[in-house]
Amino acid sequence: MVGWTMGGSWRWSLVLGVVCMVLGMGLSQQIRLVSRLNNTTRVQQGRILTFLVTRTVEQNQTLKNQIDNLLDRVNNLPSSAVAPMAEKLAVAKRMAGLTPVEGPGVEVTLHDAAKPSYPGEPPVYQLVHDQYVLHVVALLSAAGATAISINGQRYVSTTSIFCAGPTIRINGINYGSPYVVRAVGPPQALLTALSDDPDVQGWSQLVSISYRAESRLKVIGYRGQVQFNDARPAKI
Amino acid sequence: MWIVVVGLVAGIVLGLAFPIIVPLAFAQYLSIALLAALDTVFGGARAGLEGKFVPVTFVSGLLTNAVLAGLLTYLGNKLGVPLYYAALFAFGYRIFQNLGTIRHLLVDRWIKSRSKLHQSSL
Repeated sequence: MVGWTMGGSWRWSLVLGVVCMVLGMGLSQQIRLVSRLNNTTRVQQGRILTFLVTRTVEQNQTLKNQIDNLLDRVNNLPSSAVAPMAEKLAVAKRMAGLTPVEGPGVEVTLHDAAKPSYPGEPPVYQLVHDQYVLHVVALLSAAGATAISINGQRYVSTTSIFCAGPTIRINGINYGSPYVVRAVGPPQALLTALSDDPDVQGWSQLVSISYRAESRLKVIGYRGQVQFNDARPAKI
Repeated sequence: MWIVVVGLVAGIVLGLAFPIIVPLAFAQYLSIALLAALDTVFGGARAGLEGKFVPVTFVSGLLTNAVLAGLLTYLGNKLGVPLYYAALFAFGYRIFQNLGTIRHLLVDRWIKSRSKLHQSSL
């Protein structure tokens, strides 16, 4: 090749060699750097997480298929064997609060204070607190209510009602004011229990608490997950 | 020509044997500087095939391209403008163009040498 030797004393060849050496050094350093980058913890963690997500998605799919298969089997069971069990199940479901019910009862509405605060009144006094809701539910329950719901959450054996900042967490879901407590039970007894209670009377001065009897009240069923991981049936 | 190969091999060996690696923060700049350098290398090879190779042009082009690409990337990072991609595109495009030209030149040369051979054998 003419080109490479043209324009050139040996000095230029030397410069060319040195430049090429620098280039080669840069290349190998970059390759080493990139291979090291791929081995950093962050990248590896990302790979592990991706793997875990993929595996979980696959497992979900398998479990879904299992559910479908089992449901198919349940649906194809002979009705003679299933009917008595289904009856028992329906009763148990109603007792556990898994089915919607209706009947006469009382609807209580607890609302954060709408009036302007008095001078020097702490803002916490204007809010409906979890104790208020808990107390109302306890009162209704004690007065003979057989089904209670709070803002669309059925009151069941695992129900929790707890403060979550400006909201109240009921059955693990946050709800804001107003809180509507519906109770199916003897209306007169429920109303008396509420109106005679000194706590409810007191809180009514701070926030808005209203209640009225209904001749036909619908209380929805519990729709959350029912999982008793720790509580196993005891032998009697 | 041999000096190029010797230099490259020596550089690669030196880079591999070097006890330290370039810091992580330089990875981006080094990569773009390398790309610029590679562009100049292919440009140089093309010029060599065309018989227009001038060492001064080659060396100065290689150094300034690499340094400027690195600096521009740095500036882009400071400004929040990803100039990295602009450099990537520009140099990548030119590399492929140069490769195409090199291929053409080689093929032309091959065809010419064959026809010469053919004529001499006649």
